[in-house]
Amino acid sequence: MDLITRSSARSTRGSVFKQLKSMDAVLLLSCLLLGLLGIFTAYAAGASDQRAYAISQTEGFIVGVAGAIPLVLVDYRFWRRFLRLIYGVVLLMLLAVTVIGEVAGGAQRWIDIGPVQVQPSEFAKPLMVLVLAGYLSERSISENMVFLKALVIACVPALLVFLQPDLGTALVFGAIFFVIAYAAGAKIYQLVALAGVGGLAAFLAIKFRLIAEYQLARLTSFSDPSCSNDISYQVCQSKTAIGAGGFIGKGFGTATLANLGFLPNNQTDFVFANLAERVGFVGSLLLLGLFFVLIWRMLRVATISRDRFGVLLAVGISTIFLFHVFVNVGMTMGIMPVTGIPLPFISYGRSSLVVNIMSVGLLESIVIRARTEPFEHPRF
Amino acid sequence: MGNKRQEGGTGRARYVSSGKDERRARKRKTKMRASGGRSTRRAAVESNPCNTGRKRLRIVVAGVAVAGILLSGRAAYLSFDHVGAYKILAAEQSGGLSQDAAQRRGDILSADGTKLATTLRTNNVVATPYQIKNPKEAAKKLAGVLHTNQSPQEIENLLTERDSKGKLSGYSVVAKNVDLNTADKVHKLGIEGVYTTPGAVRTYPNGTLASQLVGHYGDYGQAYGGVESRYNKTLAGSHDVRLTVNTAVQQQLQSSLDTTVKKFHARNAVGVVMNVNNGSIVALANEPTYNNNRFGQAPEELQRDRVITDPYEPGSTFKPFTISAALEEGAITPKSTFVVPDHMQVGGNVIHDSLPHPTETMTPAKILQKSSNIGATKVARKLGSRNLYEYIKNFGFGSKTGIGLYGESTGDVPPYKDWNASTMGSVPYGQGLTVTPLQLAAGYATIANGGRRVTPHVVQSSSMDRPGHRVISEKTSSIVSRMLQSVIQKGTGVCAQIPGYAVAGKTGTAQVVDPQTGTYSTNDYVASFIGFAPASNPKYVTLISVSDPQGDIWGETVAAPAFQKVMKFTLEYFNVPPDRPGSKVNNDGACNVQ
Repeated sequence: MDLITRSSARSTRGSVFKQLKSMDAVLLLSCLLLGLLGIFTAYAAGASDQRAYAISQTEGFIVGVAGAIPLVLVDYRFWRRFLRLIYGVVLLMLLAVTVIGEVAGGAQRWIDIGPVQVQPSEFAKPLMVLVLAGYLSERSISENMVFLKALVIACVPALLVFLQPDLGTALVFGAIFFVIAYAAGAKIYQLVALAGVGGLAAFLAIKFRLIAEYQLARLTSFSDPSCSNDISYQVCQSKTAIGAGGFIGKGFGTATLANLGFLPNNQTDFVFANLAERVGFVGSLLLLGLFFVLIWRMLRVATISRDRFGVLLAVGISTIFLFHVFVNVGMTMGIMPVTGIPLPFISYGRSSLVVNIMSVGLLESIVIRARTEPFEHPRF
Repeated sequence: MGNKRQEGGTGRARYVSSGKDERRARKRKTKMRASGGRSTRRAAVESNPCNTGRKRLRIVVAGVAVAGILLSGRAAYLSFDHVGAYKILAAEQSGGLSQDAAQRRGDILSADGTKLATTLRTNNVVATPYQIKNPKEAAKKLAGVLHTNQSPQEIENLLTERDSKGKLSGYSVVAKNVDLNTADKVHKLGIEGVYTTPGAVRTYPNGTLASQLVGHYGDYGQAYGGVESRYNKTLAGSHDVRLTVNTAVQQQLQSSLDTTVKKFHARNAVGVVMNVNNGSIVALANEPTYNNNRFGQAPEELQRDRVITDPYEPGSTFKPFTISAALEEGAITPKSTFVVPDHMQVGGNVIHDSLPHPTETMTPAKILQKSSNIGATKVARKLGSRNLYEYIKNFGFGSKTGIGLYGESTGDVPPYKDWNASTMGSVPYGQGLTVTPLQLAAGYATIANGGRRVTPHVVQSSSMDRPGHRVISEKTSSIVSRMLQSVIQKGTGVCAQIPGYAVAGKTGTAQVVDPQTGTYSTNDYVASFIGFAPASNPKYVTLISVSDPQGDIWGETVAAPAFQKVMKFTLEYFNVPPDRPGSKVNNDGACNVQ
């Protein structure tokens, strides 16, 4: 019994309808709900141009769903054939950003593709999960050479992102690698060594000023309670906004710190604080709950996947979401450094939204395969 | 390669491979790459259960759970533990910018219900310049509905505002505080990139009325002075604040002060009308005044409530306190007599009465009527400096009155250890110490109401209405009151007589220390008059104090007529029954008609 026969057997099995029916409904619903919430937030959380924001976010939603459907229908293992190509595209995209990218907030993040601006680093994240999962699914990472090779594969795009400079996304690559490596069975000492080397690299980067001053300030000053510099001011405003929401929030259509202009980046990085002020503790908890339902279902995909590739893919995608939610929300609450990492689905931004929905599509493909194939193979 | 998998089945056992097998498989794989041996290779690694054990997934799940708990915990901490603090912080920050909060700011009402400060809901017209497709046309349309005296060109400039980088900006205020009707019209124009936001404007319907007392609530939620700032929290909490001030009396006080300032080309004048029994302030004014609706343009010195902020040397108006203390202590009686020359040496200085006169024998009443400095000094000598000092403190001088408004001065009563021989040659008649007009009015209220302290206040409050501790006995109070009536009847206060009422009061013509030389100025005086009525059962005390009047310096001619006018109006307005019906004014027409 081998994979080729299995996949060829499946490609003829079942109608499209049947495939769709065996999707994980909870995963799908939580994803769509979050997407709609994002549109609603773009409309309701803004102080001005609400329609424009909401329309733009809706466009992202539609494109994301359209992009996700083929991903659901095509067997996820199909993509494993193009790992090298995908990797090449990732590197090219990121290179393109540094060469022809649009500058925003001191960093080049966007490139123009036709009429639309695209943020390649958003696409790079799940694509790198694909590459790493594909690479490690057929190798044993406990071998040091494999571990190192995988590390290099992950490091090159991370470095390119870091040079944009987008430290936050570079850290996402780090987290992806770390968790996938762990799930793939890396030895603990390998991970400890990696952490050690990472720490040393960070130390050297700081020492030799490879990390820009403002990035370092962002990383350290979230804990500064004085609210005196830009970053700690942002965090203070954000915490104030969340606290001001109280238990049930101020509701929509009232004046909040966000629409008075006190809360910075209130539709992007700090959108959670904006929302929390309006919906209060109850609403925040519901939103966080929704995210954790999503992540839970994603990890469940890992547990039902029939093969290592699927497992690592699911773990990697879950990591992206967990990392984003934790770091972004943590940042608004003053327990995480301020890195420009968006809150999935909710932060205004089409690239991120499209990628998030498509990632879920990819995971649904794993679910369908796991549910429609006979149990002739072990799950792990 | 440890095989630690817990659930092992025979069916799965064949996928368990040792590290050796694996390495062998990998070597084989490299050879097989060219020959399409992928599937075998995948199967070998994928099937190794140790690499992706459920255990590891479980730890990942545990990590996720920890993250979730951390975030929810933090959310709870921010939402509850600090709920008050963050809410207040948010509210403070929002302040005036928070149109929501500003729109609901409480009103300041007079005792009779007149709105002294209120908030109107308005709208602001704002634009997002980079969204406006045809600014010229938009400006034309807007000019048609906005009645802001802006030309279409001016509006177009606002619609095409650029940021520091030269790009069309994202925010531009086109018009502030337009009425709802206009806002509606702007809305109906439907210009993309032009919209309205709710706004609020704090207005003072009687802009110049009690402006220093009311204070000002300005842009960005800043409250400046007076009730606006002292009761900012109450007002911000959407509660109205009702004052003890009566609009009619306030108007009368302001108009009389205004007349006086103009007539004597005085630098300024202040006045207070206070209920002697509970300390509630019926009127409090500073002239010249300013309009609270044009706060920004008003000179700073006009914005100050000098009744509480500016202490001055009270001069002769202070003498009744010396007499009261001496009577209360039994140092003198109403029948005591004093030999009073027109000058006397005290501690190395020569002191004078205001006008030369032959040496006379005076009773305490006469000392007040003639406003003799020498007489007051002689009385104080009988009392003793320590006692005088204690009474001065007891009457409330040298400490805040309790009115609670910000910026109140305590005045300056020299501490007793600093007193020397010459102190007794100045303090007894009100020089060498400073008091605020409010302290002086409150001191007279004590003399008038039977001897108990009052807490001056402007906001209706039953707790502040209660009289304070006793300073002098009712007997002393009534004796001094009678002496002060004689001042009006046959002394320096004849211009303060009110037909039908017994008035008690005292003039003051105090010298002012020239800040340049540190000595008394020869041409800068404060002319004042303070008194209460009806003297047989006092209700109101009124203080009028005029700084640097020109052409005339005397309290009896500058301040007393204004006092008379205000006090007469107050008594009549509140329907206070005359205590001396049918009495006529007896001043030989010597008074300025106000």
